[in-house]
Amino acid sequence: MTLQASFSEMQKYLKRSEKNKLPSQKIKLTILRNITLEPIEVPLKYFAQQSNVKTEITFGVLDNIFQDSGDSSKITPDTGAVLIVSPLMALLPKVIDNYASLSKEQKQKEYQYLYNFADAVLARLRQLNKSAAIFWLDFETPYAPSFGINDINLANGQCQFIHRLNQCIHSLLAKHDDSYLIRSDAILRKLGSEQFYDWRYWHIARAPYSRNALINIAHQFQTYMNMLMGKSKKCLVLDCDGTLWGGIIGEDGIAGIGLGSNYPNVAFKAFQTAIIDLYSQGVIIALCSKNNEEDVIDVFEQHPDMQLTLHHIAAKRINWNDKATNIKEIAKELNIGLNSIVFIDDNPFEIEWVESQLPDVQTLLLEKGSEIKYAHQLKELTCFDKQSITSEDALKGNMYQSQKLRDNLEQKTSNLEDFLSSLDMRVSVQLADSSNVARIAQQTQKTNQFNLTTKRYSEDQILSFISLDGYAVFALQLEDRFGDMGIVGSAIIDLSDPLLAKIDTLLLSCRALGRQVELVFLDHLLSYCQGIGYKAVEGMFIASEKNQQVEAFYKNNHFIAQDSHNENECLWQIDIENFKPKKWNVFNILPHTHN
Amino acid sequence: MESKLLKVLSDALGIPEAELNESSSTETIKKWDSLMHMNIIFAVEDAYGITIPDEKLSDSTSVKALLSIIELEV
Repeated sequence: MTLQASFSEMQKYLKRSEKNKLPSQKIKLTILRNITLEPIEVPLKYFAQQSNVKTEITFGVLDNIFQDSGDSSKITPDTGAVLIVSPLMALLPKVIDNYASLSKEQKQKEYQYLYNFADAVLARLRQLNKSAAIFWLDFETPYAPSFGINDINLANGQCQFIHRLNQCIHSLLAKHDDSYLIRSDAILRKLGSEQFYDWRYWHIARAPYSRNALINIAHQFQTYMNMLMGKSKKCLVLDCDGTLWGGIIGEDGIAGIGLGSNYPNVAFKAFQTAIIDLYSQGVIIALCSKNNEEDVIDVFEQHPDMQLTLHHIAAKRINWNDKATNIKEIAKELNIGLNSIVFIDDNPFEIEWVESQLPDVQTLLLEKGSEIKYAHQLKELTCFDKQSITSEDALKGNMYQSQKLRDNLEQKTSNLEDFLSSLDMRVSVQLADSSNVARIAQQTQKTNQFNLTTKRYSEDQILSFISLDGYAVFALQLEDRFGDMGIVGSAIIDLSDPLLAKIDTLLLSCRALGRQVELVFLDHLLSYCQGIGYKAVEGMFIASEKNQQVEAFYKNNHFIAQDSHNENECLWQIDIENFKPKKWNVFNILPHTHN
Repeated sequence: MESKLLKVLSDALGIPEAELNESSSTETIKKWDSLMHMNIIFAVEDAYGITIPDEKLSDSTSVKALLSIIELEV
């Protein structure tokens, strides 16, 4: 999802794509507004389509934000997102038009009005719909504030007053789950005041934003949605020559490539530092370069200005094969989907080739001659954004390194059981508590392959499952001789039916696949249900594009197929009256701690 | 010039190019209402790299009018 297309290119794209493939996910968005905003439909639909989502948009009536926030025809139970756009020039025009003439009391009144308004709107929205994500476009500070250059220094200046209004919105949003700010100032800064407003249409049609501002608002919205829908990318695949350093290692040699502390070579150093910053957030780093492998390794090991080291690199394909094939292999080696990958190269041919062969891979072309912008271009990518950064994320880059050691070991040990035993695995399954919430929610959002139902949950939903009596939430933690992998499995059991325990969610991170951990997990869940008096457990399988590998999971584990009313869902049931957990030779099961 | 404009209009309106011709206007095209007019102006400005002055915005509601504005501005 890039910001390169113009408004008219978006229109063209949308008209063409109308008949083409249908996006897999649908979102109902309601926009409450006090300005004319209809053209935002174009960039909203464009970015949604690019993210393989179909957005259905309902516009509230102009200047009816309060009324519409309580209107059950606009805010329905299946509304997935609400966007509130209410710029000050329309909401509190005095604050924009004649701020200098406002008395202290009048300012207080304006503030109070905003507080009451926003508080009521949010409360009414939540009354109609508890789970929709709410987005509020905050207020930009004027480029030419009321008291001119000194305004920013005055405690009663316009800038500081607008800042307080923003803090007010911010603190009200914080009271509601799943609510987010869209940052006007970030857009204004990026475009500049001249490009942010379209004063012609403000006066003609009460539409103050330029088309570029609308594009950027829509982009922020879709970035949030992608993050909330678990579409964040996981892996960065990097070319080497011209990308990590200037020049060509095979021709220029270690001493000749461009990498150092001075201009222009410092640009590559900055780019590498930006990559490491992503690595520290859990992004997996891989290399894909047409080179002799030993040449590239030499640079990593010997060049004094390399910031990246081999220990950052989870996988590499340095050979003369085509890059699409190499990237497919990297995805397979790391056990991630192609749609989790961002590929960066300075060669337009390679970018186009990969785009044509692997349309699911996101690409970024680094322009030759613009090296000084590379680090910034990387920082502008929003596709790695996450809802919260968990301690597993910080470890993850490292975990994939350990995975490589494991794979090497696998190649040396021929028998699976021997191999698994040699890993010294320690598993612990515990009832989840609030400290696991972020990780479990993240797993429900990101796990695609080993996921029986692919139900996506927010942190607040997980927290409510944990605190409700009718549910049990489990977290599985795995360690082996290479390190602690943290929580790699989650399960949610619905206990609201006193006769039948239902497995709502059962998933395992792909890093933990192929080790029979899932069997231990299921064993544990069944004995838990048995322990609290259940005689039968129901499991559900909901087919998604990516979870074929678990289609037969319940069948293979002695569940009996049940009638299902829905074609994509299979229901399975197992009698646990006489259930006995297995003895595991390959695991050391740690005692679970109940909270 | 005219065919380029018709293409831009057809993309903006989301209707086949064949439904548009030199005498199309807000009167003849149902979808071309005042809200859609903003989308059309945005599209024309993008496509021709121009900014239409505010006093001309409200008169630019037909293919003929748009053509004469573009001729002046480009």
